[in-house]
Amino acid sequence: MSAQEKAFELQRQVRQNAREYESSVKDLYSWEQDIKNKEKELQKAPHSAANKDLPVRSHIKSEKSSSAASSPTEKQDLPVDPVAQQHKKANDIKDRGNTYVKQAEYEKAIVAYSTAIAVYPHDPIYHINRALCNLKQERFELCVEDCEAAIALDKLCVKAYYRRMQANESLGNNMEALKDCTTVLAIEPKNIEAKKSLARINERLRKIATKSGPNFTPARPGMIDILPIEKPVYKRSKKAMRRVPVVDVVSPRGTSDDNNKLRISDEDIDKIFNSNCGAIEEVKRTNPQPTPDRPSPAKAEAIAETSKEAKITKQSAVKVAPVVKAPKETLKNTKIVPESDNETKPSSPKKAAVEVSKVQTEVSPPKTTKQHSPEVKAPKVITMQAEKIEQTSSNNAVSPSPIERSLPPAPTGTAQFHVTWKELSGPQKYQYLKSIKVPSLCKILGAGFDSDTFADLLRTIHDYYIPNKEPTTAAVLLEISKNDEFTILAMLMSAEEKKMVSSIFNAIRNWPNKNPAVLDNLLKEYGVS
Amino acid sequence: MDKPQLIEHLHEAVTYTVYDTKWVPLSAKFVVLGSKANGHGIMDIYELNQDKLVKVKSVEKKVAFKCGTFGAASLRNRHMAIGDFEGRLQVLDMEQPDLPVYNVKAHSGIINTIDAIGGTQIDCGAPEIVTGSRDGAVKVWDIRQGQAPVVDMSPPPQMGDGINNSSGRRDCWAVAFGNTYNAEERLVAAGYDNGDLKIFDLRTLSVRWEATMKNGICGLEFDRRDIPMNKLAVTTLEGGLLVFDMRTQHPTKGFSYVEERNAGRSVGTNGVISGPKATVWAVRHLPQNRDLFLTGGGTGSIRLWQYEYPDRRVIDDSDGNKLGVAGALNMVSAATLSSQPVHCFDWHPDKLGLAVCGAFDQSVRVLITTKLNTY
Repeated sequence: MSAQEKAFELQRQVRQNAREYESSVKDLYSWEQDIKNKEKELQKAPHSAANKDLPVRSHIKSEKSSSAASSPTEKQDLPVDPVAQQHKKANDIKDRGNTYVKQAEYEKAIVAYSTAIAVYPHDPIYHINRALCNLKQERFELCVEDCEAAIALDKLCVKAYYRRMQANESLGNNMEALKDCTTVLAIEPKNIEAKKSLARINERLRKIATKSGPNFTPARPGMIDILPIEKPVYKRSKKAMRRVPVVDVVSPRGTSDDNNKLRISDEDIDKIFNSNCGAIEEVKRTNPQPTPDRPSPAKAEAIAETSKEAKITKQSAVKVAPVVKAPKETLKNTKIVPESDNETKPSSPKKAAVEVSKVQTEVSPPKTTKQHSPEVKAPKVITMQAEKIEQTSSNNAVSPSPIERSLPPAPTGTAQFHVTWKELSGPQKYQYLKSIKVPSLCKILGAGFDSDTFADLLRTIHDYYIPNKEPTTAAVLLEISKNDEFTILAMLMSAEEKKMVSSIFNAIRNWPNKNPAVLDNLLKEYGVS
Repeated sequence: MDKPQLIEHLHEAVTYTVYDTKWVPLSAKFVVLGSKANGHGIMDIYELNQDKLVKVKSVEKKVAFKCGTFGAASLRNRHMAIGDFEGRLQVLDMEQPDLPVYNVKAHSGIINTIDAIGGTQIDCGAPEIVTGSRDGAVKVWDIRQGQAPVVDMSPPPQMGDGINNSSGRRDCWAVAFGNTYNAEERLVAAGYDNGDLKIFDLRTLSVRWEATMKNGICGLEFDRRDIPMNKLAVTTLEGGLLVFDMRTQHPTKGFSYVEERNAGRSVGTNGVISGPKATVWAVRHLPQNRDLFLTGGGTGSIRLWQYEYPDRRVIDDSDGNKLGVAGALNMVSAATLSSQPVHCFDWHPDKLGLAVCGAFDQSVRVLITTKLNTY
């Protein structure tokens, strides 16, 4: 575009804009006239009444909350539920009690609240209110009792903790009061009252502490002592010492025990952090040191017992010792003990032992029910396992004995199955295989089904299914044979495996509820005559 | 060239600092609120008369006026709700402005911002006024209720850990009503000096959503107040302009938005953006087209924007939750009016393209915008 054209374009533009503006202004002037006429008409019209039909927001607040909870189409009935009616009745009584409190007639209020509790004992509010009355009447023990009842009903009942704190303060139980106060702050971190109280109680505790020495909590079992390190003077830090404020931290005290806390095994933690360094090395394998809480005679006896059994390797001897003890432990129902040990000594030989004992107890129950003395049965299981270890080590010399761990949940996919399967011990494989639903087995084995897994499956069936006369044995075998990889795997079976298969079939043949058609099919599939 | 032109039609210099300008509905008049040099509040009513402005009325009060709105007034009763520098909310009748219809000490500090709703809209709940103040509180008023607010959203009496509470309460700079599509639903969006954006649900009396912008929030407006909330425009210090898509609230990510960081800078005649990152003081959607809106910047420039919706406004994220998709912002037109910030702006509700704005250079301008009907 030449300069002349540009100039022309610009001029045209300016002119057009001017015209545009002119027409807009004209339009505006006519609109002005219009709107002024309209305005005059409006002035003549009568004042419209104020919009009175719409309710003021704050006036409808209460009914809003109830209507918001249910859809308007739902018809609202009075609660016909007897429990709800009881609750309503109790609430009415409580309301009467509240009016007594307002008039400072605490005795009457206590009677009212007690009646409410008798009518409906599941609402903590009655207990809290009665606690307040008791507090006002300076019956602090009763107040504490009421608060505890309320906390039992509602663990996060802030008022209950707060009133118990007040009562405890009045009773002089400063430590208890402090715990309650920190609980209140744990639930409601912004509670200003509680913050003030915390400062007050801490102040008081500090005064008492300086009078009668520091107030340490009693040592708990399972605590680790950390010894101070003696450093020569020249190695010591030159930095000035720093004062670190120590704050009491008390988590909410619940009524439930801590047993059912989530526990994560070390193997899982290793996996999470992708630093799986194999089985935990048992350094003191050859001479396991007896821990103080385990009586050594029992262990010696156990070793003596097990040493009679043939083919027990030295490696398994360590494991055997606690295994014999395991049934005793289960008899005493002391399942918590090993768990607490796990925490403190993660890599000690004892831990491995404890795990073994767990596995054993998992496997053994069906047998112990049959036989009266678990001690007799236990070594048998061990020998079986010992053999198992030998077998696997002969087959697969590279991998050490599989790590015993709790039984994983049934797999949902192929990958999960294969990953888990390789890490399981013999008895666990049996349990694991049993946990898989038979019809989905073929799918779970999937395309990753290889000869090692196949051999393992056969061995599991041979070693566990057959002795236990599992009714699903034939179905499992059939399901395995449905896998796409099976044809080639069946062709490549080693002599040992073939022997295993034929012994399996021989066993199945003798079972009472056999299905000849299925059996023939299996024989054909597995190519065993 | 068929882009809209923002043209200054009339210019009126005044002798006081202008704080707010508002059209009187269904008339050719507008109200100018301001503060005289002696700290007195002044309210002038001007009328358009061909090529000049005629001052119809002038009212002076003891306390400087900060903001006003006709949102809660019916067409017949022209009641303007006004907030002043001492935290007083008064409703004045334009016919008899000397005696307030309603008068309440609403806040302990200056009322920075005001919005109202329910006057002319049908079927969208009670007429209510919301005020935001330097004392940190956002209060909703219904003049039928008396001296107490119907909803009070004050910050808690003590926040912080005893060390960091010296800064005290946040300063509320912007409020806006929205989502008022039936008699029950209503939201208030509030912007604070630290960049906090809070959306309060007045039906459930709870905080619906909160987020923090990079800079303090100066202006807020829903594109329409009487529909299920669609878009929310937010302007901030240092030139931020954000438009949130308010149709879809993701459980964790909240609302999606599109951001423009240069909205406060001035645009030269040749389209070059220059100057400092000035505050974007105000945002106003065109009443006749909700996808066009105007922002007033700290450099005395105003800009007209168009919001372009994305192809799909909602997508499913990997967790199966609905996630809103923000659109794009196109600058349609720009003009520089003054050397001082254009901080208040009002489109005429009845006449497309007619607007009035006030700037800190003690003047009021009537603008005509052409070709808006082409969008």
